[in-house]
Amino acid sequence: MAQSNSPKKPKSVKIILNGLFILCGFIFLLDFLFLSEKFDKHAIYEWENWPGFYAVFGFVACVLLVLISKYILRPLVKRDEDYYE
Amino acid sequence: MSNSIPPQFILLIGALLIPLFRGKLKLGYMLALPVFAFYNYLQMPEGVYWTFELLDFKLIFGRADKLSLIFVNIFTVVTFIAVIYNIQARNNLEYFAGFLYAGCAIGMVLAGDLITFFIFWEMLTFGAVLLILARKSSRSMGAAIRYLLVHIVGGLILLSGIILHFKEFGSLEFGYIGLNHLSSYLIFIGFGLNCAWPILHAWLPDAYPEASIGGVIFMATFTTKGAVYALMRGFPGEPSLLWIGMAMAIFPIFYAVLENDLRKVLAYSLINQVGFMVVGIGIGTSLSLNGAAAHVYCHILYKALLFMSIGAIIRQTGKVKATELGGLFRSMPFTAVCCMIGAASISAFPLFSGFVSKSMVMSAAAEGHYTIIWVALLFASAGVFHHAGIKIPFFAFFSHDSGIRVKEAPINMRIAMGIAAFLCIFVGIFPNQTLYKLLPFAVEVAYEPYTFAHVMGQGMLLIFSALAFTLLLLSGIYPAEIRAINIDADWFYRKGGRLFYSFFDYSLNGINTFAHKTFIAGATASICRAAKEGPAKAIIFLLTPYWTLTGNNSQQQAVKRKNLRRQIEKGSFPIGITACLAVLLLGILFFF
Repeated sequence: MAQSNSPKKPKSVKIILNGLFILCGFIFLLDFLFLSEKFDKHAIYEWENWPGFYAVFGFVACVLLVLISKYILRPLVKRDEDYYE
Repeated sequence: MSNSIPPQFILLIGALLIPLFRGKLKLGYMLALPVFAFYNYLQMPEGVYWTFELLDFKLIFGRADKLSLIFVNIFTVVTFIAVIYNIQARNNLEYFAGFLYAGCAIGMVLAGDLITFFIFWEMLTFGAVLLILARKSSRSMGAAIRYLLVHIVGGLILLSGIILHFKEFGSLEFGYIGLNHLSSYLIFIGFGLNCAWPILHAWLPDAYPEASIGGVIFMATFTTKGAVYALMRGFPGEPSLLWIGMAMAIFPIFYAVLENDLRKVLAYSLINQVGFMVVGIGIGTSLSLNGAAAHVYCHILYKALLFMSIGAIIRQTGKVKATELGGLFRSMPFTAVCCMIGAASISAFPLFSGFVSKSMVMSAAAEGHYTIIWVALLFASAGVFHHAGIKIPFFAFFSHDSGIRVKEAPINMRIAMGIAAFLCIFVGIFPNQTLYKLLPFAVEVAYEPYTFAHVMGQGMLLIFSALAFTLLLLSGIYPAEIRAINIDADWFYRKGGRLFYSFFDYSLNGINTFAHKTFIAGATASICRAAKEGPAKAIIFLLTPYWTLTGNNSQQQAVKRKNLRRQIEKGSFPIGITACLAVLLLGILFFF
């Protein structure tokens, strides 16, 4: 099933994927190297000042979201399509 | 008194006249209705007007302040867009239901007293039910009936709250209510049901995927957002709303990740977005309430856009499941772009509408030091991008090629989607000139969404969410879309309803069978038999000792018994016996 979801990788997909990876690296480095030290983030919470906080949070949140959905919620709630028929 | 015509009545009366028009004239008429309503909305000054005395009550049809007017604005705008989108429906009932729904929603937010409010609130339900029925499938029929039943229960709870409220306070004015008496709790729950609070929410993902493709735009706009308005009016700053809103923002995203039906994904993400609004109401500061109102405005636009793009797919392909779609980008590029604009807006990408509204609620949560809520909302922000922002466009338009080759959506749908997409971007880029001018509560310092830190933080959050999605998909961990349904709280009344049915089927029919056996088949027959044979048996019982004493043997006795029985059955006794029985009867009557 996993294969059917993942796209075959023609050139355009490769470019998009590489673009995404480069963008991720770039924005993370930008935050890490320059902004955290020299730029006032108007942070209310201290952790907002940690370099890469939002990046790590976004990544971990999504991984957790998927893992919880797949391994905890789905076994509990999945039924056949005609369950209510 | 305002010189303008009440916009709710323009739509409600206008709806009744739709069948009188034909062809192009009808199209023009239907487009003119929301335009005319919007024109009259623009003429409405702030104040209280359009009041009528009914018995001892004062009905207020025009309580226009900034809070109600921002809702009238967006409700009218969306009605206009939905009419364009819906031209092809060619179904008077659907047009009528749409305008009825819109008129009631506007009437509801302009209502200044609880009676007027309640009447429009209840009529909303009928608009929605008609729009679900307009799909004309057996599944939509079932969904419509469930929708109606659930909302009638909610409506009755609200009504009982309103009646108690009147009894306690002697006033039906609809202002701040606050959670303190039984009546206010009932009103609170009544609002909460329409607001799709957790556990009370199940009607929403049950019904919206079954509605007609045009009807769902109205549904996604009016019912939940009407409830958000009611909560903003009646319960601003109520602390329990923080936790309710948080739960709303969190739990649907897990379902949305698993769900196969793309309109169901949108239904769950709708609850998630309304969660942000409810948190905003719960915080109760000017910033958070403005954020909730702003989020209503933006949310209605991008949610309509997303539902329209999925509706266009349904219309062109007849399919809506992620497992059956994919690779439509080449066939329907315009719809794909619109869908991605809607996805970017709901994900709150900078320069799109969601960014300028959601960040207000987030900032208000941080300023109030609601740390758990803030972290939860940040999680929900990443989650909503994950399921609505990426999943919907990805599985519909990209992913594996489903081999479906269709034409692009018809021109009217493209125009409607184009207007909504344009507004999403326009509001996102120029919030100060557009949306923020409409916000209900005065603030000292205007909110500035585009600070460098905000853009940077949100950008990182979203890009790394996208990274997570990509890596999970490539590694095969991402849960495959499968043809299955996921049960939700509606299980309790859908399966519970069956349990209820079988319980009463078993118990009541059991009593019925028992009663039949005992009384109809048993007792009646016994009484009949007793009436027929009783006298003979009694007499034989009395005479047997006499016969024995008089020396009859058992053979003679058998003959006598047979004769006597025959005589009694025919009623032909010898005269002596008849006379004897008559004397006996008279004697009994005499003594007793």
